[in-house]
Amino acid sequence: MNKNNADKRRNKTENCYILGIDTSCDDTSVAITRNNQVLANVVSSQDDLHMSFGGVVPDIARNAHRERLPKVIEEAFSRAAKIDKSVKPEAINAVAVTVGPGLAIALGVGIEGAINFADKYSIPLISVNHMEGHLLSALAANNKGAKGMDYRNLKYPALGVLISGGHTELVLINNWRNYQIVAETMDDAMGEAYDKVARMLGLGFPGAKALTEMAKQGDPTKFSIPVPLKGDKREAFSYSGLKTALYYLVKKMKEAKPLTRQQIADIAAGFQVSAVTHLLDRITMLTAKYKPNTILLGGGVVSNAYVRKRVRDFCKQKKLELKYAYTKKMFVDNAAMIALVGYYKYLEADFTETDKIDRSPRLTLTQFI
Amino acid sequence: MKRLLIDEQNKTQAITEAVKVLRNGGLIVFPTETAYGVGALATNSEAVTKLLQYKERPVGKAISVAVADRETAERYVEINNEADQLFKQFLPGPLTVVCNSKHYADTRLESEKATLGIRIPDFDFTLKLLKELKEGISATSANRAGKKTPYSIEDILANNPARKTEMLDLILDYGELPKRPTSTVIDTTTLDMQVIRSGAISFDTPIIEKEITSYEEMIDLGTSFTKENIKGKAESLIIISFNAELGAGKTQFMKGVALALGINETIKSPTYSLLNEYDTHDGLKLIHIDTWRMASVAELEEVLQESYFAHRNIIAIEWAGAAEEMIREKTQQAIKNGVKVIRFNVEILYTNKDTRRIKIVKSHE
Repeated sequence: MNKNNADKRRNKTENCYILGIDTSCDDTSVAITRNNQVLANVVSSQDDLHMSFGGVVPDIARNAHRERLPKVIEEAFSRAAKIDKSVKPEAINAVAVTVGPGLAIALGVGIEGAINFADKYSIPLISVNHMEGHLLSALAANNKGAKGMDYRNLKYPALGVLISGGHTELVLINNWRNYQIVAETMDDAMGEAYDKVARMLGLGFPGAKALTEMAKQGDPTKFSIPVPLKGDKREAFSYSGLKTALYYLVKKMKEAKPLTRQQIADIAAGFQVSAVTHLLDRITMLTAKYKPNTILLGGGVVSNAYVRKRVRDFCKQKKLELKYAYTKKMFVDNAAMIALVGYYKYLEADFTETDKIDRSPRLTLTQFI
Repeated sequence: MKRLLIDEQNKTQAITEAVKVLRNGGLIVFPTETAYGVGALATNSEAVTKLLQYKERPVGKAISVAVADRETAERYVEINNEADQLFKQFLPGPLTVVCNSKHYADTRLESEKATLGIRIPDFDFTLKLLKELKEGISATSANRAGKKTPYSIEDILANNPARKTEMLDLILDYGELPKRPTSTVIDTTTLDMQVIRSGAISFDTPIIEKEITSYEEMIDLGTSFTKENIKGKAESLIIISFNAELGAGKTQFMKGVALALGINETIKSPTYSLLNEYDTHDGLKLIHIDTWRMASVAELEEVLQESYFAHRNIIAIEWAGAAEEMIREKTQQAIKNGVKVIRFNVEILYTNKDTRRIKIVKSHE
């Protein structure tokens, strides 16, 4: 620990308040945490902000983020103060901000905002890897302090399962902040496959949620839909072949006549079983190899109840501990997970100077920041 | 603004209504085999004024006219021998034939050389509409200048301020259209019949045309294509645009390209990030773009740095159609700055579940 950095910390034994900022993609999010508890977690497209722009359309544009950020910060403070009266800008111990992976222009706006805040209140700045946020989101405590788990109490090794629109990877957590990517997608991400298949079936975009709903009414055995990399021992994911198989099936069927509602449901159900079976195949394979004690789930695809059920069943059978965030809002891109990583980095006085912080669009979990 | 969802039952009624709107000088949005177009009665000056206001198109840029048949076309333009051949061979289809204008249409639709582009869309519903109307309508994509080429009505609405959308009197909503490139524009009034805009129909001989039967073959093809056409030709800016359906194997092809360029990273789909950038060991940059989930061209424009459009870089674009106008403008700008550009169009068609026909056409710009 750098001595200078350590000196920047204050009230070491008391509550630690972190302001988290995430602008990695098309949402602007700001959160405030107290230790490992989430006091406020505002996401621009999901929260009905009373200020002026309820139901904001996600937009990666720099100006859109710039316009939203001050309002989202204000909303986060107003919400957090309702839970803990001592929350105010002057009480914040540090600002944690996503530096990557993500879209460079969008990341830049969050970083700019974080620097301004840190300078204004003379507090340290913390760089956070967005993917580490997803990984740790499983351990956050709610605003009453319940359901959380201190990261330092994890039984190693643990296996992180990160599944979203842009990522599909299994991460072996060997030790405190020691990560190894043991499987990742060779082509499309799992969430991307959901969205693309949903669009083929005429369920709109983003359509993953609609597809999951349709799948509930379908018979997954009606159509023969292949499980990706079946019998293939590669430690990797591939969703593009499944997408192609579905595209061809739907195309051929549509040439004959428009799909019925039941057919759409049956295809959706068949796709979902294959897509999730592929995930479970790889989790099974790598669990046998690395023997983790705990499985952590993170990323937008965790919102899918069928995915959670399949992983839960697996963990029960293998007697593994399973962790995922206490609220759906923490599966998707959000700033609470960034603040949470920020909290643990704060305890280690792992800070970044304001003139050294930089965006890192293609950051991976194995790159230490 | 009125939006009509077209189905089998209301087709005829929709056509009657559209004809009425057009004859009254109104603007309609209509489907074609390429993208959604915005139509104004070509002979009505009020309608054309409204169209130009809507498009915000720079003065002096021509707008072509869609007609139902050759007979109608002859009222608008002089059809010479070359044009005659093209009409017979390609129309109806995604080709705009530029001929000398007879000034029957509003002259603001003409080019500075007093020529006019004529097109017969290969889209049954729209052909019926034009037959009923017995006149030509403007055939320009329904986006405003510089915005996303629209393949769905949402593409138009999302990129329009409300006052613009209000200018559209009737929207004929045919759902989501397949993402095909816009029409090829060819000038028959010059001696050597110039292609003014490359598009869905190509007059160049393909450099590669073959059928493949597996993912591995697709990767190999990307590799051999790159070795033969890109490596060692690094003095130019290379643009590869894909014209292919979902799941056709674009990303597989790109894996092969990356392999040949010595990129060790796994090439993953850029759908969610819009753009992935890779460095090759000999100092080239590979920029891999995917517009599939892009809501507006502005998104891509922001991530697409000017510095990409320089010598020695390779820009590969999946679903290029939606951002075509913007890419073309950036390319033209690069050419003005002295950059040599070589463009490859890669077309991938499903022949059945596991086989694809690939055609690669090269053009110098």
